[in-house]
Amino acid sequence: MLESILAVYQIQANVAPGFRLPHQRVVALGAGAATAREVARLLLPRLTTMAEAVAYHRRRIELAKELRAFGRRSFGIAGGPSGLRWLNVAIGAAPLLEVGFGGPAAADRSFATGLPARSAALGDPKRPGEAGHKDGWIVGAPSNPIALLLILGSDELASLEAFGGEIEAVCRAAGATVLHAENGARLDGDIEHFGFRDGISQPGVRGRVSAAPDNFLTRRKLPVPADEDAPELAAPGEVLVWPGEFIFGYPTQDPHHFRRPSPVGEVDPFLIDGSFLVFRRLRQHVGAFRRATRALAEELRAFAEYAHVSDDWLRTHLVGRWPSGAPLLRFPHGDPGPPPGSLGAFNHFAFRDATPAVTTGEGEPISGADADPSGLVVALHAHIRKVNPRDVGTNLGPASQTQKLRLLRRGIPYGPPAGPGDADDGVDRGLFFLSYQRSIREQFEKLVQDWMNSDLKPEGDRGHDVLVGQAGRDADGRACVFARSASGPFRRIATRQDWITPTGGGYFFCPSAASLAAFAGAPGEV
Amino acid sequence: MPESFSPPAFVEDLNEAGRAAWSTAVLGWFRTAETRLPAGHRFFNLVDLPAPDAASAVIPWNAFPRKFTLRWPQDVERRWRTAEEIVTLDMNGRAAAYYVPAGGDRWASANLPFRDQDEYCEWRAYRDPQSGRLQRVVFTCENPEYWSFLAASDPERLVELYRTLVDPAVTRDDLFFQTAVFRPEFTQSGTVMENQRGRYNPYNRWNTTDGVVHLTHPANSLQAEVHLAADATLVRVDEAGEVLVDDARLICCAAYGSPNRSSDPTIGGKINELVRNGLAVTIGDPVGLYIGDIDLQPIEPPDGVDAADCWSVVRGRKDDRMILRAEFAPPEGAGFDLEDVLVGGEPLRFGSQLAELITIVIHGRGVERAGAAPQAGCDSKCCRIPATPALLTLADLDAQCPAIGPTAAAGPEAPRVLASLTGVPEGPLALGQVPDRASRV
Repeated sequence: MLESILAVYQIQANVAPGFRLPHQRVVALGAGAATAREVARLLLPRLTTMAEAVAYHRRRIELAKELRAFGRRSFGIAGGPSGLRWLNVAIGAAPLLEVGFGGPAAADRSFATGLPARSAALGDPKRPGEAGHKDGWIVGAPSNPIALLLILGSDELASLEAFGGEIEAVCRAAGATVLHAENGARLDGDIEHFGFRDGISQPGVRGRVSAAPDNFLTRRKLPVPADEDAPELAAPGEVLVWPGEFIFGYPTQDPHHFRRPSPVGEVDPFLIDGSFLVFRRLRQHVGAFRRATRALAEELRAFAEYAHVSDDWLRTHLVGRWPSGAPLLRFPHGDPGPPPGSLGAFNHFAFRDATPAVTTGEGEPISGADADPSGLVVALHAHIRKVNPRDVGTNLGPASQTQKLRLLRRGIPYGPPAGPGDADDGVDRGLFFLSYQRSIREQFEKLVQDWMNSDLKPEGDRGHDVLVGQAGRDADGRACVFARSASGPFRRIATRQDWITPTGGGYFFCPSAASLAAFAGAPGEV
Repeated sequence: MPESFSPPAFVEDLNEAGRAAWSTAVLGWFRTAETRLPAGHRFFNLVDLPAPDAASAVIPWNAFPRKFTLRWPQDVERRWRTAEEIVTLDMNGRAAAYYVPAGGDRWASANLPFRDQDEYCEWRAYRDPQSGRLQRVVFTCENPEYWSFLAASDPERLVELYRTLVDPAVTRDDLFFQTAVFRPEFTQSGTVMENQRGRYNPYNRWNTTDGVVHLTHPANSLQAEVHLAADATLVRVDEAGEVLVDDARLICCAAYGSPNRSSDPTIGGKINELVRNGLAVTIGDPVGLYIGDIDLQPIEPPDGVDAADCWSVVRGRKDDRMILRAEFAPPEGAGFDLEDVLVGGEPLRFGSQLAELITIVIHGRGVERAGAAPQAGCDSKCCRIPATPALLTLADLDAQCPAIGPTAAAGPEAPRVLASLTGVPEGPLALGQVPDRASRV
């Protein structure tokens, strides 16, 4: 089946292909419906869509390959920073309903309910006054609802700051309140604050960006497998997913089959080319993380077969990857450092069955990887296994169903990197978690609630996602189980220490340019 | 390791003779299941082959039926409500395998009521008769065979338990068929229809329309679970001779359950994976289906009450994930009802909201077994259901799958017949068409 042509001038850029810019700013606005419409009207001409971002990133990546400059270094390599000024706009449930656009709320009950009301379901503290309770959030607390969430991006900090000042002035002049505005920045090596490379594994979004049959949004680096039932990968580990899982108006993923699309069905016109956005401001307590994981490692070392493990070994096994991003399954004995070729070498593995060697279309050979169905190398509780069980069937159904839980993650760290040592320095640093999906309830929330915060799912009773899970305020805390053999012994360790505190966020709908215009009151749209 | 099979979760309803007879019955199911498999198969039971060093694997799945989520992916309210209806045909048109004569050698469905909850967990929402507000929710994963066995071996105890668990008004006659109703019995000489009059009625009012004691959906039986586990031990190969490894493909090929559930593809896929990795497998003792966990975190009762104080295990054991029956209700003396409780930020109005937080498990066991496991080709394939193409149905390999039209996504509703309606929902069946009661399909 020929893949859909995506509406590149309608879909906002951070949905796909993602801003990916080294400097980004999150601006939360408070406004009544009329003011929100006026702000949308004023910002509409500045909106950055998929078309602009695809063109920019293609140019950037081509140059980066030529000059061997990857990651943050790839920005501004051709004649210095270009002073990009990218903007995306997302709308909260209340102004949409007030203006009369009920489609998003009808399409996603959790969006309609809102993040503050749903926060307990995500494992956030339930008792007022407790750190992380919604009443104390610095952005998105129930007492200060966010009407519009703006995401700004640039390849250089000065441009971002100037752009932010300009946009916020426009919003204020229209009568909106800037509830919160804060910069995020990609860290060296694309790590997050605990020190691990992030964002390696993303779904490959199907769809074309022009009428040309092979002008795909996601470049294809691997041949289509002859087995029509097998998943098709754009690159090693990057399963191709039909765009309707992230953007309304396109075929969705079939729950029973990796390759087949499901019919589009009826879609409220306002939703078409839009996506739901989750924003969570998650503060990371690096000192607490280091101290608590040291204590966990000490606990594990009490078992003879783990007597030799280091603190870093324990941390790596909570993640499932080494700090460089190298997966444990491919590199069980130590961190090999940055990948010699593409990141594909760090994403070419599965858990249930062995992965054969491949050579990419660019001629890069990538060796095969062993399977680990029992979680003896990458434990069933490891973060990367919890949030993406890959080829393993889960409590929710077969592995093809798992592809319906994927997210387009667009998160970016905020705050300065922590220094060495495990003392608390009092600096607020963490992650702006940002994800786009068709359903907040069936994708983001399912991952968090059903898998990360469970000690039993998706694969078995081997513990929580101790790294970022928020569960375990009961007597036992967050637990994880290690084993060297499928028949045990099973070594269980647990912590009650929280090293991530939710400090804000919200659920939003990121409309197409046309729907944003309709919201703004522009005649003749939608 | 056991010399006999224990009652589910080690419950102590039965006397010594009853426990021995129950063990014999369970052992019989295992042995029957093993006879369906080729020589060298990888299925065993812990009585015939005690395995003290067996590896264990808890296999989890969600209690809320996946088929409703597939059917109505956006309409949460509808799936909550629909899952709690008492029906005589499930969403896929399946009825309880009990029949009444329809003239000559033909039989019609007895139209017995059941819950259309087919993930080995069922629940009942108890409401205030005046206001309709939710008062308590009872969950069960007790298998019907155990209760039929109890009825046959100790009917007084059966009645006593029903009175304790459901209503003191339960009478013995309420629990046993008072009219001629037939069910197929499978013997070596073929299928015969046996009159159940005077025998235990698993679909009695106190277990369906007026209460809940054990599982009622026709697919929710312990024998079906044993058969599924046994059938899943066969390594399957496709036409090209490639070994199938994906859960979705395996269940379509082997037909050991419904591809639309969370439970069947997951159980079968995990068992098949263990066999492919060199193990022979079985179900741990006590053989059963269990509530493994409820996620209480999304639940916010008022007045500072802890959600854990609203959840009580009535039968079974919490600590080793062997809960058979549990109840969610305000603690004694609380000044609120369940609709004052928030679940995920919304008032608790349906038991379904709690079912979404419950995980069901079976306890698998495995021992290493040398040599190659037997392989088989496919027995069936999957076709889309035209009216609801997100759902699959099993079909013979040579059958033509129906075409899926462009408007199928918004197609007509699947037929549902509520218990309040009367009449035979489908045409009479010849004896050969009567389905196998122990099937998960």
